[in-house]
Amino acid sequence: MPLLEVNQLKKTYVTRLGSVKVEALKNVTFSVDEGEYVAIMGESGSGKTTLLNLVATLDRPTGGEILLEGKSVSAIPEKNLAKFRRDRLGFVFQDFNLLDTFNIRDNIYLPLVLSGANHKEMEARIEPLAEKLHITDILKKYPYEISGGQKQRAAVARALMNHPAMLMADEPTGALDSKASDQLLKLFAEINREKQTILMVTHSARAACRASRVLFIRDGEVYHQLYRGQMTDDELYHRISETWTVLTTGGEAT
Amino acid sequence: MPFTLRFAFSGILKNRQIYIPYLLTGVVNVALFYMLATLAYHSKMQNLFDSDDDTVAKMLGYGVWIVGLFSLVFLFYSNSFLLKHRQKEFGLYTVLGMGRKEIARSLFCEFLMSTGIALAGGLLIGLLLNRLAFLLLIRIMNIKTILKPEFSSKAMLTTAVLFACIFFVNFLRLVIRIASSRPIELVHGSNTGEKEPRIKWILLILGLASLGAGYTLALTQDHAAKAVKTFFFAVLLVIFGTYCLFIAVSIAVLKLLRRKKSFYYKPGNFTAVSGMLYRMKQNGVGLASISILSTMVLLTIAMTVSLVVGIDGFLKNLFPVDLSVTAIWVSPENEARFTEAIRKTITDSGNTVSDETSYTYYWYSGRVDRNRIEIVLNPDIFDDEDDNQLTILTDTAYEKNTGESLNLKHGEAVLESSSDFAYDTMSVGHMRFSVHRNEDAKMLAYEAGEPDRYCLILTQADIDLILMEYGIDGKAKTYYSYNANLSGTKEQQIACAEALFKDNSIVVDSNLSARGYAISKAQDFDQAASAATAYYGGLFFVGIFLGIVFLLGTVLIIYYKQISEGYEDAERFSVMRKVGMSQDEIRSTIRRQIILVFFLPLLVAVVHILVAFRYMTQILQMMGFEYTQLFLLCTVGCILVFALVYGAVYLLTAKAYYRIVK
Repeated sequence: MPLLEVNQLKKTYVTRLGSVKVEALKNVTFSVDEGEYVAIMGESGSGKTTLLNLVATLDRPTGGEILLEGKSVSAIPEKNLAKFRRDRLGFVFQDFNLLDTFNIRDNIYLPLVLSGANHKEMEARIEPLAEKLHITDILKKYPYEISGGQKQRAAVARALMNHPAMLMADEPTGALDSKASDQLLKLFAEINREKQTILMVTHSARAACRASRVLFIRDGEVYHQLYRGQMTDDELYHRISETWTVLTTGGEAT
Repeated sequence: MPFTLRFAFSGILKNRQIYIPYLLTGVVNVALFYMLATLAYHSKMQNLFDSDDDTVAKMLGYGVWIVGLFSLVFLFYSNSFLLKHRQKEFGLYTVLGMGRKEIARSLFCEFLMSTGIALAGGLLIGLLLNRLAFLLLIRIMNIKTILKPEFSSKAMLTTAVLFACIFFVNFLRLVIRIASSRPIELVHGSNTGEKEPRIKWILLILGLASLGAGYTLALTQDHAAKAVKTFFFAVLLVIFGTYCLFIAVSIAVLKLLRRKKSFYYKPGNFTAVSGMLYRMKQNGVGLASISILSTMVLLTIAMTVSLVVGIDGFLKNLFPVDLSVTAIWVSPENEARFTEAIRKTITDSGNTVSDETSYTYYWYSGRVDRNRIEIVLNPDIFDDEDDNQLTILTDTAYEKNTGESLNLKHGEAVLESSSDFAYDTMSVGHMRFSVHRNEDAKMLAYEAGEPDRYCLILTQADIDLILMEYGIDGKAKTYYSYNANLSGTKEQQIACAEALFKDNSIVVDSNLSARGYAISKAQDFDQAASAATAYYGGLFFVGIFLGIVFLLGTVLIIYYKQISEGYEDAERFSVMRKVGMSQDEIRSTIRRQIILVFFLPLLVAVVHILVAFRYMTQILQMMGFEYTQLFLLCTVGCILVFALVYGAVYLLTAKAYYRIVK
């Protein structure tokens, strides 16, 4: 059974006065197996962030369904959604979304504190994680005191604190320089090797070529997908680039 | 020009959430200022009573300028909020290629418009309500002279010039701010990282010390005359202390809470404590201001209400009996002749006597230090706030007039005092006495008005010993006092007083007279009553205006605080939602924080008022008001009404806050 199943997902936005309807997602179907590292690629406005928000239960779909571990996400009542998010999912955002009012340690603790965990347990969990993400030294600092790469690693630590079924990342390298990006992607690969399922939205081929599978979205539909198979990162990168060129110049997939 | 005008107009419209309160503050303050000024500059106000007594006009005049001063403060405050909030907007205009000159021009248009709105609205409201204010003043002051509302061009001009100046300075501040910063700074202005607040130890210690000193002054004050002098000092200490406390102590406490892990890492406390810590750094000053202003509202209103409500008691204090005669240099031997002659005058003028007392006594300035009393023979009239009035009376006089028997022996004394005296013994000079305190203060009751009064009842032998010690035996100044209620008509009573009291003397017969005075309730009550009503009514009237201004300021600060926090919190709460906080949890966190932040100043204000209570009763006592219970009722009433208003403001502003956060 796949970890995540997305069936004929549809999302239509209606403008405030109801006159114009925008179809962000028309018909999206795909699945993610446990331990997989899936990248979703698409241009700005292709609907990839909408897709992620729907899977993340931050938004409700217009049609279709999302199954996580075989259970329909839309069946979860509104009041349990927040708990579901913080227990089962981990998030990494493009703009980090760390809170300025907390130091890094407390930022990382946030989801666990919200689920009422004991602070001793939190301490036990953060130590190996901080070690692995190289943020042990900055735990006491505040978000505005550290670099973008450090912020993003802190955000990853926050996302992993609750041992999520799936780590979801929305353009995680979007606000980072190339060195910090590489570092972060290496980390993602490392985490994935430890059987952590990752679903990442990006429009950077460099980021996507580390994944085990790449989905391409265009105009609200899954347009193509690439499996890594035996390819190296570089080979996958080239395949992605080719597909991307076709995708953006409007041709049909080969 | 039309473009600039349109641009300015849309600038106001787009920022209406902040502009409307700004303009509203302007309108209300203009109206209040104008109304008070019209009254203060009224042609008849200078000589309200037949004499040229201009106390009320002066009072109103001071009120006008205090209102003006606080208008300035509050308009400045809301303008700096406007400035902070619009930085991004101005930055964007510059980036989009609008020159500073053009921005300044459009801001000038905004200035013209906002001044126009504030002045036109305020003056219009002022003109409409002027009649009402006028009637209110006449009603409160109970003025009998015919007083007609009149239009004062001076008042209008002063108002217009003052507020135009305030708005113009505000405009200049905006322009200078824009001219002195680079566009990119303006665009990013509000997003710079906040430093972790540190505990400011010096401020913490200073604050605790000055608040402690202020409170100690207020709580240990036992001398009414001194109270007036130290009051303002204590007020300054408490104001300073309050600011320090809100800035430093709140942060220290929150940091302590954060250190306590088992408390801090709980779902509700986690976000609340860190949020509060963040807020306190930014809002310490704002919260302290709210708390000080609330205290001022409460103090002003409670004091002035007490004055007006307490006028009857004040007058009763002033005229304890219908007729009160006091004369100097009346020896005890002549006492009977004086009493006889006065009684005859009373009956001759058609009155009958009841509740009669008459006695001779010694009257000195005294210095009371705990239970040691020293007589001051040559009091310094310019520095006498330490002095108490000391009446010394023989036990026989007391017994004769009260019908009680005391059986005083050598070394025993009965003491009556207007303030607390909790000792069993006392000394006068070198003499020691065992003291019985008379709670009824029967003799003291005839000594009208003054605070810090002591009345000693001793045996004649002991009195002689004391006089000897001070070297005033033989030439001791003795006073004669006669008090009685009369049953005649008003005219008969006045006739009696006039017969008794001629050329500052009390004349018994051609051989015997003494300097002195007679106070007749019938003769003087009406005038005293109308003067008291006018003075205290005038104070109350000004108090109402000031109360409104302070209240408005409080509401303004609260509103801006909620709005600005709303914008910041909106971002934070969207992050929390993403990492797994539900709407309900967010809402309850918000409520917890808001309520705490909101009601803390009120709590502090109430504590301030309670501590200041003793002070206020003493100041009221200085003015001749001795009804502590009444004052307590007034204070509690004011606190309740204020809390209600405060709560209403909370509900309104919380709504605005939720709208932004969502």
